[in-house]
Amino acid sequence: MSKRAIYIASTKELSGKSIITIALARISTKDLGKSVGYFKPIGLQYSLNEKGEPRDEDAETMRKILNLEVDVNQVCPFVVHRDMLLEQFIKVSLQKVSNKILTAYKNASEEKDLVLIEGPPALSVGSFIGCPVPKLAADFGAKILLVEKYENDLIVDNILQALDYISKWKSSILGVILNQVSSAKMQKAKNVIKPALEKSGINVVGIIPEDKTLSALTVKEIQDAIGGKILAGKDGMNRTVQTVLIGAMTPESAAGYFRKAKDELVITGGDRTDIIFTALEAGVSAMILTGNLYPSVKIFPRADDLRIPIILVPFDTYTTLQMVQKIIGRIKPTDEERIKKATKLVKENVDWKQILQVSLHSN
Amino acid sequence: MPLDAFFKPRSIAVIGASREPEKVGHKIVKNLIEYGFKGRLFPINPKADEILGLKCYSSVLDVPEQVDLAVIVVPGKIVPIIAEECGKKGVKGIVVISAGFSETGREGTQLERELLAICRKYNIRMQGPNCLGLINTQNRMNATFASAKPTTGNIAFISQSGALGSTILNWALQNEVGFTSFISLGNEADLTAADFLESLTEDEQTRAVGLYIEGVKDGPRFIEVSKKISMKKPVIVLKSGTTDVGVRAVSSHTGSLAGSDVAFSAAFRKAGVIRVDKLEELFELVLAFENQPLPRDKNVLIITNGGGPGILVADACEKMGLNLPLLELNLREELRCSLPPHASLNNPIDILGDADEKRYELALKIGLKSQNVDGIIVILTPQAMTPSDRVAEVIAEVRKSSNKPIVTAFMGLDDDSSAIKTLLKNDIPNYPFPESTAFVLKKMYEYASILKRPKQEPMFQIQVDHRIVRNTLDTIRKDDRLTSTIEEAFKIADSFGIPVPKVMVAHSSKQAGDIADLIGYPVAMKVISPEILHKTDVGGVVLNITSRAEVERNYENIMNKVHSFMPQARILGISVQQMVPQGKEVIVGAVRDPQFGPLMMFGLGGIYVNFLRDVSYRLCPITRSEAEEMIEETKAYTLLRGVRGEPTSDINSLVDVILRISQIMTDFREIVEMEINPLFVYNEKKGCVAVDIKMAINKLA
Repeated sequence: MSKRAIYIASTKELSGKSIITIALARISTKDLGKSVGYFKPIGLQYSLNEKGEPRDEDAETMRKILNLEVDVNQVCPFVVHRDMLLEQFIKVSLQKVSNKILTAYKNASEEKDLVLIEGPPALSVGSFIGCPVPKLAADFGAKILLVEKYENDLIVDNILQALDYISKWKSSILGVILNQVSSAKMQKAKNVIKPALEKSGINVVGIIPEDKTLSALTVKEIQDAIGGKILAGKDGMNRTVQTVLIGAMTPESAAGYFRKAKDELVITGGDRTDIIFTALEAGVSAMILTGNLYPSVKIFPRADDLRIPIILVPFDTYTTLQMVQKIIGRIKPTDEERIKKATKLVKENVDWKQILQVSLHSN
Repeated sequence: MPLDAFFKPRSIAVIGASREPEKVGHKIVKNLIEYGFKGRLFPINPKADEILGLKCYSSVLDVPEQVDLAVIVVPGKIVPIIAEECGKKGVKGIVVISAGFSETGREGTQLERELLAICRKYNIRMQGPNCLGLINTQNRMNATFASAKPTTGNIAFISQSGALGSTILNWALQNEVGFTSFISLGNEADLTAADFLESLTEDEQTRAVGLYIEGVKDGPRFIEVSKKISMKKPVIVLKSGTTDVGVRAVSSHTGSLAGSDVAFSAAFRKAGVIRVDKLEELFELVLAFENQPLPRDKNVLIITNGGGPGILVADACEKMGLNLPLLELNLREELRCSLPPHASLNNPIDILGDADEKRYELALKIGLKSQNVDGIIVILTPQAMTPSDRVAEVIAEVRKSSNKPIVTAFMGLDDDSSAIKTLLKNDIPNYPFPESTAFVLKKMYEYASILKRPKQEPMFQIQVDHRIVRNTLDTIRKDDRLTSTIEEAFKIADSFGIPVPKVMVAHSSKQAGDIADLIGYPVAMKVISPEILHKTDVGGVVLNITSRAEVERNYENIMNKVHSFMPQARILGISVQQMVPQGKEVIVGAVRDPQFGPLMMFGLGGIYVNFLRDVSYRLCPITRSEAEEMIEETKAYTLLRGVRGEPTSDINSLVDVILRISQIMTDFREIVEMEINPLFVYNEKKGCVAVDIKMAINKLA
């Protein structure tokens, strides 16, 4: 079994594991010329493929990005729906599952210089089949790299508890990356949090500043997720969206908001021609018109010229806003632009040499 | 005049002429013939040999003579083909009546673009598409399909709405208003309102222009052209879409940004055009401006045969800001000798219910003689012995030798009564309701004041090092931001000579302390974030900090508070700023209007600003007298002058700041918004200082 492995995990959901995994893979392959494998023991992004078999959607995305020519079920052997953990627990033989995962890992890591293992939303996930993160890390011989989103001081407690839990399984931590650190918290992350963790023997291998453009969606991604009909501005579907604004005020006050927001998506009613024109002139990223209210046809040529997509949906404004906000939380790092940006961020703010070399040469 | 091909063509082809009487293509040929067009006329229709007795051609290319103007009524889709033919034929202008262009959406817009490209290729000017056509009464050319046949007169009318246009033609006939020309704009793909205004500027026959618009295509050019024509003749504009709902309707109707009404008002003011709010007012003013001399000043004499209506008009005059002066003593004496003892000799002059034409004549002549009077309102109510016909004749006679405007309100008569006919025929504007008379005199006075505006006020222009602003704007752009930090905004303002306090941005508590030590205590600290518009609301502002320890503590405090209020906000640092003494708080700001460019705003500052709406607006670039007017228009002016024994504030320095912001906005097109709020104004000769400045730059397309 390979020891050239890093298990990228976190104590909480949505900490940015995928994007860091991709960045590390990029650096290893492109800059260091290594062959890199990817593995995800337990998948919770349950979906069905064309044949009706379950697969993990995120693992599938990663497989594509990393150009792995294997079936997705080989890099993510165990897929389960979040609401059906207990059903699985009753159904399966624990030994069998654990063997299945280990065998799959063996295959995935074969002939690789480095295997990047992506963990589930929390360290405990997998306990129901006897496979929590530190247990698997020990089985794989992988070191754990914690990726944590820094929001407040409780992060230190979480990490210390994780350390305790990990050592119980005789696994070890390679280090911690503090991710998505807002500019307001940067000073504290460097001067307070890092020393505090290091005092407890935890290596902080990177502090990555928040980059809103990374979590920005494209108009196309939003449209893919919420549906709706593109009425105009098709050429602008790859514009990014960072802010969502509701257009329910007078055009004059709306203009003030539109001017100062960057890459904004405006949600408004199709009957608000005044807002629509104001938004077009202000150069917003896109507009969603709600309630299936068709706008005046006269806006289409202008929207086409400016390449500002106008999407018509049947929902009311509030529902639309909720749907859009839901997608914003689950960003998939699929496009090349974002991958490049993320790789650059990791290169600049993470001690990637230490991470990759330490793991490559450790026994 | 320019656009001769449209106003004075020697030959016209009607392409799409029809034999069927109910078709537009037939009505136009018929109107041209019946109205008496003297030039050559060529109906074009491949399926007809003859229309209304004229030889018909199958294509404009077949016409054996030169064609100056083509009126096109074929279906929209084939208009580009026809235009191409017109180009080959050497036609100079086309009037496209056909619909189905940008007013219908995407495909129509494409078609309109194609059509315009053809016009440009052949150097053809185009009116429309989607318009009613045009009329020039001077050469008896009626190239419209409207049913009314206007009489010759002194008014030109331009309308963006075809429907409103034909209504106005009918109304004019009923009110004896004659036209020089009538123009329906349609979609304004090529020729716009400004182009027609420009050509009417030199037309001696046209004494006033009425204009109905929903928006303008090229704001700055509209202003430039209107400024010129307004110096020669009044332009009365009715712009619809003044309310939120109206704005929405205009956007849907015209397919463009309706624009803020504030910007339009400022534009009209700059252009020197007279704005009215109702169609009725447009009619009233057209009547008044057609033939009346302008008042020199705003002193009005009211002559009435009834007390009630006289008082109504007196009230209306007062509300409109007109004066009602008393006559000179000798003239009052003259009146007293000739009028019954209980007649009122004040203003209004009440010549009593039994007044005949002689009393009207006497009062009128004395009014004209008075040096105190600039315009006269004559009111007549029908009483048992009132000889309204003869009064009308007397007024008509007196008016001939008058150099003061006379307007009348003959009330309660039929519209077609002979008295009213006499008045209108003799160019005396008559109104059925008395308040209208005050309104028109006020607007005539307004126009007289526009004519008195200084012709060439020197432009405010200071020499500045543009590199400072340029570099700052580049930094903002490079940083991927749309708003400036306070430090950047202060740097820009400072480079234009606007007084600002010392400020620097700190990124750590230690740095904040160092800056405060450097600037000197007390200091103010403010969070810098593009996402936070109201810094105070999120605990992002601390004032009057007097020690380094406090500065450092407040740095952490502000960071924590702001972060917990607005976790999403991007924080760029905290500014540490010199505290300045309190002054009178005002706001000076500007936003870039998409149609008219930078729009300056001045108003009272402080927390009541949004509530009081005590603000004035002007379009940039602003002259010194405009800046002074901006201040004088607001209630803030009274405060700055000092109330209850307060000393006067330094208004000159405030004027200076307004002018400098105007220059910044004019010099740097990428700045879309700049606002000093508050600006502290100190006592006379003590200057002012910008305490906070917000600035936003445009997005790159």
